[in-house]
Amino acid sequence: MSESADVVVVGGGILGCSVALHLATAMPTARIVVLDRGPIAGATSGRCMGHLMVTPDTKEEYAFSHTSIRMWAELQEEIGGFDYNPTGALYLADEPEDLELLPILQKQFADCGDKADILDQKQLRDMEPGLAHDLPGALFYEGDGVVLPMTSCSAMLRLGQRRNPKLEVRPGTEVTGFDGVGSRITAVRTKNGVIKTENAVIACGVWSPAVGKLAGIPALPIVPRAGNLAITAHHATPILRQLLEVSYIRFAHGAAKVDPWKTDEDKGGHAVNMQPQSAGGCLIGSTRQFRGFDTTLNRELLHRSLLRAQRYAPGLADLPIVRTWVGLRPYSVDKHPFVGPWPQTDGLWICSGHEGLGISLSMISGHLIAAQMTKTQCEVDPTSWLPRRIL
Amino acid sequence: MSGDLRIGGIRRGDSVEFTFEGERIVAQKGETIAMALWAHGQRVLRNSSRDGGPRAVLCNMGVCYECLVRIDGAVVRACMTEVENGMSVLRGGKP
Repeated sequence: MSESADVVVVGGGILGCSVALHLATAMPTARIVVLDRGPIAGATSGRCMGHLMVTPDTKEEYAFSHTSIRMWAELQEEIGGFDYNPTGALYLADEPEDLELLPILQKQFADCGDKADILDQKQLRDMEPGLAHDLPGALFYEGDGVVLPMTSCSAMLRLGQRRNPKLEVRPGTEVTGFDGVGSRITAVRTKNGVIKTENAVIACGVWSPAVGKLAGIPALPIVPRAGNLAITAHHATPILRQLLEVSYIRFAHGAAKVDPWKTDEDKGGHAVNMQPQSAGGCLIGSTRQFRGFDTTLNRELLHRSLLRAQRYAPGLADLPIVRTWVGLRPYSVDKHPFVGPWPQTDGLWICSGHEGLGISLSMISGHLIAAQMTKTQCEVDPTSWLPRRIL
Repeated sequence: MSGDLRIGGIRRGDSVEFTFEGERIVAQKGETIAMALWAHGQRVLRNSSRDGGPRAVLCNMGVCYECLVRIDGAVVRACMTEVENGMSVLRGGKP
């Protein structure tokens, strides 16, 4: 005899957990089941940084990311337990020519109706005494923050279960197929049995194209983009805030007229990203490479990141590196995540492809899935993120 | 806690003197900082950056990094570092 559910969420990473939370909130008596073939937060969400980042590249992206980070603050109020730390972010200049980038980024925030402050050398030193004293300046944006992604996943699920005791989490359950493909979802098949359902959400990160194929989505354009990371021992960290090199915008955003996605990062076109951990220690990333599902550490690239990190925060040189690893970002080829229904099959939903912003954007993305499924008001316009654009 | 917790009747290395947070500690050559402090009754090697709570030796084999201390500015694992004469050891977790 098979069981049944109102919604099956495939994927127990940050997106699947947020979808589950928002569905549980919107449908407090529905039966919702979260499946993952591995553990919760066992893949990308357990191998990433936890930067809550407002991106002002376009007004739309700004609204999307800014609303999401507001929702993170609400999640903290509601349940907490995930080392939420609204540190703000500093975009650091290294060379004097980097100073030209600060007003460009500042204007992007201003164009979105927000503000960011340019700091001179002295102001920067006062704000972050652990940084190298010869740094020429920085841009400070107050709205960013830091969370611990793994405990964020469990906090979302715990809050979901508080709001809907019928929310069930089932790790170690691999999906093998979907029934009703091409018309209307009727069941999700797993290695452990069939779950009858009218709604299935694919939130499988870099594996979304493979799971999507099982659901009749021919080629979801999401590819892994590898990042090499290191974390120092949980000793007192020399930095207090989320730090990024401002040269990051030369290629991670379009501002400096360089196509970010064509930059050859193997030749050094990456910027370091440093994040203080509340238990002490510092997380250091974030290289970007397309090399399939290979998770071998690229020591040369990581070494370059560590040298960059030391240049900004010399005290890091005193701290032992405890662990190094590779995480795979689900990079969407058109740079926008897929959040919404799949138009060719009723009851099939996608929430994936957030690249390096999955943690940041998880709250708003989970909300958009739940709001669209229950036909209630969306907090932001969902149009740009709808999966139908690839048809 | 004070006194020596070492088991008697075992042949050990020469005496070595170092300080922990300014306190003079006598150890034997070949011991790690962690075990020399343990034998001396010093359990708290650092305080958590999160809540200031005490942290001690946990794995005692170099894996967990709970026993971090500071020697001449460098952060090291007490369980993987042998005592030396004249060493000045400070609790970890401090900038």
